[in-house]
Amino acid sequence: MISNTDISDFDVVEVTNEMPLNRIGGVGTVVEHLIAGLRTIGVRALWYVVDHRYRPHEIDRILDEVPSVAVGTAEELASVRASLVHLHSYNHHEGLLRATDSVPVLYTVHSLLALEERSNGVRLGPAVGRQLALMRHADSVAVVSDSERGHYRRLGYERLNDDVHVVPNGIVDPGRRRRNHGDRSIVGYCGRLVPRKHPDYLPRLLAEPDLADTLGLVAGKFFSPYARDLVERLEVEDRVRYLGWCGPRRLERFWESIDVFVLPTAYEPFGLAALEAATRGIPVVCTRVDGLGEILGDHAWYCEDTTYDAFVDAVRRFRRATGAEVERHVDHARRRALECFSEITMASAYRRRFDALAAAAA
Amino acid sequence: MARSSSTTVPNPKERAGHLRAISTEHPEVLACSRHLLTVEPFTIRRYGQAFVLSERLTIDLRQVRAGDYRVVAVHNFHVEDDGVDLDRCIAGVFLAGRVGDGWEDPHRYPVECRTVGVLAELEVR
Repeated sequence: MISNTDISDFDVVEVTNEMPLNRIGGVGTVVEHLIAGLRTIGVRALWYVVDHRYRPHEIDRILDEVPSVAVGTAEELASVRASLVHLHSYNHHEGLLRATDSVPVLYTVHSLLALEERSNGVRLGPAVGRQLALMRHADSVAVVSDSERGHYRRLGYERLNDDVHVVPNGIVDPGRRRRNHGDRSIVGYCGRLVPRKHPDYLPRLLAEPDLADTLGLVAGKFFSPYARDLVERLEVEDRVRYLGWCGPRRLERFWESIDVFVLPTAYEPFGLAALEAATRGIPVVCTRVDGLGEILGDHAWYCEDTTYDAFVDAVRRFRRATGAEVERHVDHARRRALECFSEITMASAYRRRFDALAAAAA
Repeated sequence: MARSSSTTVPNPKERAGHLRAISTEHPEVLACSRHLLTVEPFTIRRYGQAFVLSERLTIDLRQVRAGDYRVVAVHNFHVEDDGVDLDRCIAGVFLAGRVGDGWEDPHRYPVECRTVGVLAELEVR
C-alpha cells in the first residue's frame, strides 16, 4: 500500500475504483465533489483506491494532487484503522468483503447494473452478481435518486438490504457561464456513447431539414461502426464533432461552446451531466426519466417519451422558445441545482448516514 | 499430443516488417527498420477537425503475430484529452490484421476508435 498521509485517524474510509483523473464514468466526478464537500463540513476522509485500472504515473499524479489518499489491495485495506467504510466500488474482488467485515459499511449504488444491462442491451456477466453481493454485505445502502430507490424496490433488492436511503449527488458551483440565449445552433451531448443514452439521436437531429444550421459537439467515449455508418449515411460527418474522452479543461471548453445540452436517455440513475449544464446556465433538452426530473424540476424542455420523434419535438420547442422563457428556465434550473444538489448538501447527507451507522454500531 | 519435430515455428526474435502501399497523403510518417516500426508525429485533417499525433511512436513488431496489417490512424478514444482546442483531437495508430478478405475494424469493441486515415500496409514475417 502506498499513501500520501501519515494520519491514521479518519472519520471514514472512502473506498473507490476511480478518482478524479482519467475518469472511466461518473463516479470519478462524484468523488471529486465529495472530496470538496466532506472537507468543507469537516469530515476527515481517507480515499482508498482499490481494484483500479490506473497506471503507475497516474497513481503518482493522484497522490500528488489529492490529499489523504492510499492505494492498495483489498487485503491491505484490512490493516487501515477505520470506524466506518463507505464503498463506491463497481469493480471489486472477494477480498474487499473480507477486509470490511468488521466495520460498519455504507455502500453507494451509483448505478443499478441490472438496469444498465437492460437499457443498454448488454450482458455485464458477473458484475451484476458482485453488485448484489455488496448490497448484501453492507449495513446500509445509498442510492442517488428517489427513482433509483423505486427501481431498487421493484428489482426486489430490499430482500438483500432494506436499509436503503437516497443521497443525491451534488457538485461545486462552477459559476454561470451563459447569459445570452439568442444562439440555439450548437447542440452538446456528453457521456459514454452507450445505447441507453441514444447517441444516434444527435446525428439524426442534424439531418432534419429545418435544423440544417445546427452543429453537434459530442464529449464522450467510445466510437462504434454504427456511429460511423450513421454519420456517413446522413451526410453529417462535418457537422458532428466527436471530441473524445475529455479531461476537465476540455470539458469546460465544451460547456462554454454549446447553446443547449441534450440528454435523450432511456435510463439515468441521477443525471450528473444535466446538473453540470444547469449550474452553468445552459438550457437542457432531455427525457423525463429517473433522476433527470428530480434534478431539473419543471425547468427543462422534456421529451414526451424516449423516442426519436419526441426528442426532435422537444428540440424544436426549445428553438421556438422566447429569450425570456429560456432565461426563466435556466435561471430556475440553476437556482434549484445550487439549493438541492451542491457538494455541501451531498456531503451533509452522507454525514447523517455515517452518524446513523456509527450510532447503530455503538 | 506432441508437436511434430518437423513443424517450422517462426522465431519472433527474427521477425521483421516490410512496408508496402504507403499512403501518398502521408508518405513521410512511417519507417520500418527490421523489427521496429516508427510513426513520426502527424496531423490529419478530416471531419472539420485535426487529429494530431504529437510524439513519435515506436512499435516493436516482435510483439505482433506474423501476417499482413493495415497501419490505421485513428482518433484515440482511450486516452483522456485535456486540450482546450475542440477542433484538435488526439490521434493514435491501430495495426489492423487481416480478417478474411478485409481488415480488422478499429471501430469495433474493444478498440472503439474512429478511423481518420490509412497510413500504409505492412507485412510482418
